[in-house]
Amino acid sequence: MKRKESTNISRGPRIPGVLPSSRFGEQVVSTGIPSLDSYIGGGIPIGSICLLKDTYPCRYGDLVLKCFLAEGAVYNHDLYVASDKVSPKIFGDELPALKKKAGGNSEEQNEGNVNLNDHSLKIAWRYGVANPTTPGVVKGQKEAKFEFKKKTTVSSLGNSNLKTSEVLERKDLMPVKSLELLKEIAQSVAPFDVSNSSSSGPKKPVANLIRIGISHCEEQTLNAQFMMGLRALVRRTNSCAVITVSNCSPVSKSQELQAEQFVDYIIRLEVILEDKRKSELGDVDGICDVVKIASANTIKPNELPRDLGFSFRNKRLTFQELHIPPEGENTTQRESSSRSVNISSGSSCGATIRGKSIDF
Amino acid sequence: MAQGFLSSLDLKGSVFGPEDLLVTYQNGNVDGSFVLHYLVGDFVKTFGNQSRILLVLSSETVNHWNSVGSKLGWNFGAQQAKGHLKVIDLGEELFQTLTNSESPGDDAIDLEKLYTNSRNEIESMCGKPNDDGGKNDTVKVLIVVEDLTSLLFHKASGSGRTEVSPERQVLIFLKKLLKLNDVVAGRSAEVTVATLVNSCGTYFASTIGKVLAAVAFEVSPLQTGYSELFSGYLVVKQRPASCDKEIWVKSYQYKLDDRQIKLSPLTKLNF
Repeated sequence: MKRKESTNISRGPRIPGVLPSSRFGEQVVSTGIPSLDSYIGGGIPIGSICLLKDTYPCRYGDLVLKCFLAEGAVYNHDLYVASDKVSPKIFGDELPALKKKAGGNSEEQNEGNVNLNDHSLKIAWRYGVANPTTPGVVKGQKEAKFEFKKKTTVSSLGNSNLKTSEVLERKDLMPVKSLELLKEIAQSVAPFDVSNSSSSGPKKPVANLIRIGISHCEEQTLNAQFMMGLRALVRRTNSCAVITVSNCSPVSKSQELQAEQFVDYIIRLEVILEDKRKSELGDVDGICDVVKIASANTIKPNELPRDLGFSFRNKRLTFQELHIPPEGENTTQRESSSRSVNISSGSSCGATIRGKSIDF
Repeated sequence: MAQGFLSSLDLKGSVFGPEDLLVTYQNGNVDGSFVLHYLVGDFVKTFGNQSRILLVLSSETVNHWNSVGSKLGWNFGAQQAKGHLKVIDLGEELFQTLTNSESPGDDAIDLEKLYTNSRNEIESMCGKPNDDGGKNDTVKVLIVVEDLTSLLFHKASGSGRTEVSPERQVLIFLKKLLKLNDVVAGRSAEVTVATLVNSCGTYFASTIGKVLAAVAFEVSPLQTGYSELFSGYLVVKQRPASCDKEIWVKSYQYKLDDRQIKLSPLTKLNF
């Protein structure tokens, strides 16, 4: 069956590293973290903006961003990087390296980690996910593609198309305004224009895409004007953007909410500080809260993945479902017969539920 | 055949009245744009060849509207080819401004210019005024301003007086759009305006919905965040023709699919 082409935007020939999503015929690019991709429909759709909200002072969001850029470098996508807190050149020079495969087996899942494949249910209350969202990718698949044990550069990954922001480096423009950053991004994405509405006549098909990574430029990015402009740019070009921001930005909450209206994906990374809590939830370093997933070309809302966590073990970043035990019960205790449920209230305010007395 | 969206709501009288404002109010982190899409679909199906649509897009692309329209059963391309649908794509204008290295790069939206363009498009779609006084079938015009709050955020300008607040400028623009009904009245045409506003931190959105709207659609997310049965809540408020009557209010839970919407009326629980 011939696929219906859009009347306005044609994405052109097939580009390496671009995959079909399980949803609505979108084309997605991997974040570089297969376990995260499996929960968000296979990756970040082309033409969309993903906002990663980090917990200050942690920088897990930047780790995701580096994996996103490294994935693009592997497939020779063009890369644009802007960063306000560190030099954007660091992103090009300190990317994670490709994980070496053991025994040539690309499907390995045993590296001392729990196998969360839905065919092996090891914990009584965990129910494996029946329907993987992406062909070939099982939800909870923990195989990491990149690792941070060794750092690599964009050129080492075979890519020579990295552009770093210059406006943020220029002292005479301080403070850098949103419009300056937006115009710089516009110049970078202009060669990837796929919209047909320009009057300049038929265009050459675009054979590549550009990944935009913006790290902690809260003052420039967390406002509606910037996000509207960026949305207009990515919607009409072969591009997608990942923006990391901190939860301690100087921007007001209302301004942040206004900016979020124009973003397609919002993922919050909340770090867990207590070791006990970390182990209770399944040895995770934090909770991943997918707040928003929007799809182009449809009005059907997407089901948001729930109860996700992330961990940084062996210098690899992976995402997994949290182990949340039923409330109020020891995990090894058998549930007593339901007929024994009785609630009694005597002179004290005590009550008994399932043979346990609970005093208020 | 699936029931139309508006017919499922049991609203009193026609929703697409002359100089009426239909407001979709997005409450929280929920996408309420489906209401606009369904309104346009119902409008085309109800009025057929007498329908004229002007889309003022600031958030989504033409491709998105085309794709959603085909799923909801109306043909975007055919309407455009007949000259019954015109688009003012503010996102495309912004894209051209940003990517044009020769332009000064001011990304503000000129509301005066937007109004003038809108008026020109409406007049071209409605044809010439009736000179002989003969009766023509009334042409129904629907102006859809996709995201009114984006005009507010985008340093709305155009009044020539910098002391006028962005909210006031957008309100003036909205009233002028509604008054286009008087401009095209001589061409046997009636204008209705539909728009969407976001709640995010401003009183402007709720004011528009409560004060100016003939019909307001308030879309809210589920309290629990997720349900297999429902996508969210929809509260519909219709202002009566006369002030002495009460506002008609009805609440629904809605389940949104790719091609249809299911509405379940919420009944009040009395304790």
